[in-house]
Amino acid sequence: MEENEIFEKALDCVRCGSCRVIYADRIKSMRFGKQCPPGTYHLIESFYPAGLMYLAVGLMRKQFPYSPRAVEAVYACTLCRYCQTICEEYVETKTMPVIEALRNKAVKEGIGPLPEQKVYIENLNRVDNIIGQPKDKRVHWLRKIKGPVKHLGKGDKASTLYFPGCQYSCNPLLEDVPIATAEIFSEAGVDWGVLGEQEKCCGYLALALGYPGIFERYAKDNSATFYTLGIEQIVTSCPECYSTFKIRYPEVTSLDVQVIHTTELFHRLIEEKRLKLKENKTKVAYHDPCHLGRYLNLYEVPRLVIKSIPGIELVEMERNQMDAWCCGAGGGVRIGNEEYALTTARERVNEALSCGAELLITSCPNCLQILREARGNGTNHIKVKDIAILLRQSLVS
Amino acid sequence: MEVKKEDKKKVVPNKLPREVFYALVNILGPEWVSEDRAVIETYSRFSVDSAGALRKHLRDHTTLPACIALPQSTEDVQAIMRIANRFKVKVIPFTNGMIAFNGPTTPDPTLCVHLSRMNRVLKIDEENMTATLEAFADYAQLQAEAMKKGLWNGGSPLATTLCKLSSQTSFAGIWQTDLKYGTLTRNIVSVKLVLPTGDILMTGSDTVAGTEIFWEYGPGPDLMSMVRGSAGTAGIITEITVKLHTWAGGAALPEPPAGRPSIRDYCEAKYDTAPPPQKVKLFWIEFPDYDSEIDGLHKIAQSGIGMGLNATGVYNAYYCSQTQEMTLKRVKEKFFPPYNCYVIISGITSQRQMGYEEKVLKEIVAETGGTFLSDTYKPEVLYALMPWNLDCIRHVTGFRMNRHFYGSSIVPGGSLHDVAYKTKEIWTRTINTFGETYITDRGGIDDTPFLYAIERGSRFWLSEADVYPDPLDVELLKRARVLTFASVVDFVSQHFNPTGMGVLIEPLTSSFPEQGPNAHLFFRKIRKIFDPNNIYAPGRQVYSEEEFKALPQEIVDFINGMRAKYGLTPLKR
Repeated sequence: MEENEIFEKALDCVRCGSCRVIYADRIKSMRFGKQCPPGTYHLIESFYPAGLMYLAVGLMRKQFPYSPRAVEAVYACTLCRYCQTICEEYVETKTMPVIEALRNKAVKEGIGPLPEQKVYIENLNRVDNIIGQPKDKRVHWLRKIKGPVKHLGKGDKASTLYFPGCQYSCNPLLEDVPIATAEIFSEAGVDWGVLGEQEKCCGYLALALGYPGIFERYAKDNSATFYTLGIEQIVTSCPECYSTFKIRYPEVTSLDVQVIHTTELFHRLIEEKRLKLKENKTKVAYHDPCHLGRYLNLYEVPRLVIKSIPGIELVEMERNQMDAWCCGAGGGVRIGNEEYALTTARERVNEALSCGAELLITSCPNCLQILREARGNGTNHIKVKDIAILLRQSLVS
Repeated sequence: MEVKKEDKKKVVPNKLPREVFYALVNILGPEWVSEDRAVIETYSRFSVDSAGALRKHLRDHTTLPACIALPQSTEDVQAIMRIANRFKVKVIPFTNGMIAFNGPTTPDPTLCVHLSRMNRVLKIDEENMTATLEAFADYAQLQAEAMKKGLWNGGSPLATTLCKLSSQTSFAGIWQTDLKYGTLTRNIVSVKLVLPTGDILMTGSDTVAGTEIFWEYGPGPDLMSMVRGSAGTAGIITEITVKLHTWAGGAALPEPPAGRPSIRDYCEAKYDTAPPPQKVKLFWIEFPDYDSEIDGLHKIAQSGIGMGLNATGVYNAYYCSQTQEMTLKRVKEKFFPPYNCYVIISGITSQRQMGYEEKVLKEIVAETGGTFLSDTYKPEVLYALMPWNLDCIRHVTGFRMNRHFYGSSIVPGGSLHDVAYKTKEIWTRTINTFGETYITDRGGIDDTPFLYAIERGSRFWLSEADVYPDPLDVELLKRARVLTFASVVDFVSQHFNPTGMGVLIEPLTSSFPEQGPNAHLFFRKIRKIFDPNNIYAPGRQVYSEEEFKALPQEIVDFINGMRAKYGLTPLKR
């Protein structure tokens, strides 16, 4: 779709405001009744989806140039997709393509993204991961895996490629997640391997920040790698990689590979009784990552994984599943405006506390990292864990 | 889309005097005041506003406020108004931007006061059964908190969940349940209003020092009546206290049995089949023709039963379809009965109340030739109407109707006979004369216009017909304006009240002195009292003399052309 056509879609917005709140038949309280993290934080119309749609129309008609404030608004969106999800039910405005086009335009005009976010792109261009770790560090987490690991990039064969994604692979603070995942695979007898140093970013963040060309390059490179190595199934821990492979890659390349999220594989392994789980008496809440939930409708499977652990009590936060409040880290926001991102994450931690959870579980590196940071103010005792860690700790072995 | 030559014309906003801008920054802080072109753009167009959309197409720079300011308290609003009054700067308030008016109506630099920071439910008083809210608190918030205490405000806003009670007060506040509870404007206990001078006007019993907010009448003249329905003329409401009523529906609303609707591919009816709340029943009745439908509605409204009574005709297709394609298919195929109504009953005191009301309803329906939709009579239609369960009580009417631009409306008011037959007659004549903008404009011609029972006893009803032009099509936007305006003139020429409580108030009061008679002159005087420097909400309820004289000649010519077409004498300035 041409940029102008996308902007035209913005005119469909009737400013009904449904994207700013939890709909009245589902709202549980005033305290946790809001939606749209950027609008809720900034409270100015231009940060809400309707404002962004009007901004898009004005820019399309060349009535004014991008201003720094407009760039701030466009890049404040966490791309959580609540607005589009709710609008598809009512007015059918496609907000996500419009916001994406706004970001593409900002990059083309040399005014976007935010200075801090450019680091991600520089990292991609330099070392093929958004974190900025040297390429050889991508496999650093494997040093803690007991036993041999199959490197599919070096000619080893395995039925399943485990693709942790940049953040889990390269961020030392998150490496406990791929390690736990690998241990679960091994426990269940999954025939898995990694790409090793051949693993590259999926390119999502380039797309999210307004660099479709860079994204396309990664999409084609990765697809070619998967094809060359004869990969049939990819399991990824990262919801952004997951939705990018499933939704965005087919737009620019052919990807004839089955892609699943680790929670789906965990669920299958539990169903097949390949994992023995011990009792874990904990009250947990599950935070739906946007890219699993609203992007791909994967709400139930992670909950089934959690509920399969004996003794565990799963409680729901007021805003859950389709209505889940975004952690605040998505769309490049975490690095773009850290205080706003952290405020958004604190809101989620408080919501988890309000439903009595002792443990907040998620299945996304962005969510995990920022929710961990957000809870660390010393006023509460809630812990934040990835679902893989919870499952690993619940294994009998 | 090709960018036309005229599209390249820049729309340059006005600027506030620098001393005003910096004074605002001093009050609110720099982050809460902006005149950034890209930011003010987002305050420049409203929904339900074909005129506003048209003005955007025509590059009318007066659609843009010069500056926006976001106060956090009543005191902030007072300070803003004092500055504006001192420097004679025009001010418009803004909550959702979901209004039927056209924003700034003068070419002067205009300050837009956005109340989004004042967004709390301040108090729910269980003993006095009231709720006090800030200006930006919405129905959804109020309902969520009140239901936990066995209370609710008494109605769903016939708009979206996000609708703000304070701004709806100044307009009309039509609810699905007006039959029992009346409109929002009948449920106000008190408002705190900042006048254009910066003074505070309070109404109701809390104007007496040390007295609680429990009654809508304070000492002296009832100033509240100057505020309700005044379309924002009087000032900015910063706090509102509304009546609460007993809620028998439980602390939480029941979930749809099939989980929640989600992504586009899952737009299926089963996700919309939420049952009504506890102790609430919704009955759908089909009538053989329009006359028997009107007869049935009249008798039901007179009987004293029911919480809500409305007729919706083809509008069911808009509200109850999961996609726009489905909407259009159902309109064309006349899937929903053309002559139908729905009745909401509630067991507020007991289940026996529901039993009694159901019995009375069945007797009336039998007498008037109606048939209940049921598991044995048109069950597929009854199932398709299930989303109305979401809409009627659960405050989620939203814009799930035509899934694109909602241009404007006429909302005539009066006795049931008058509004039912006159609206049908006039809207049919208007559409046949000028043509529709979209197939769904025909709601009311081929079947039943919206009919709302506003009071017990069938005293007062509203009807409604709407237009849905493509917002990209200038000609259709113009036609939309002509449709609603022409029908209004038609109503006036026949001595019927064309607006009841509704849209087009601003040009109507000044442009149709027949409405008063001479009410517009009285309102001009009132405006001068509230707003001596003529700074506030310019032209909302009635033009000032200066504004009326300054109306562009082409607008006056258009009005007079329409007046002449329907046999009215021309306006004189």
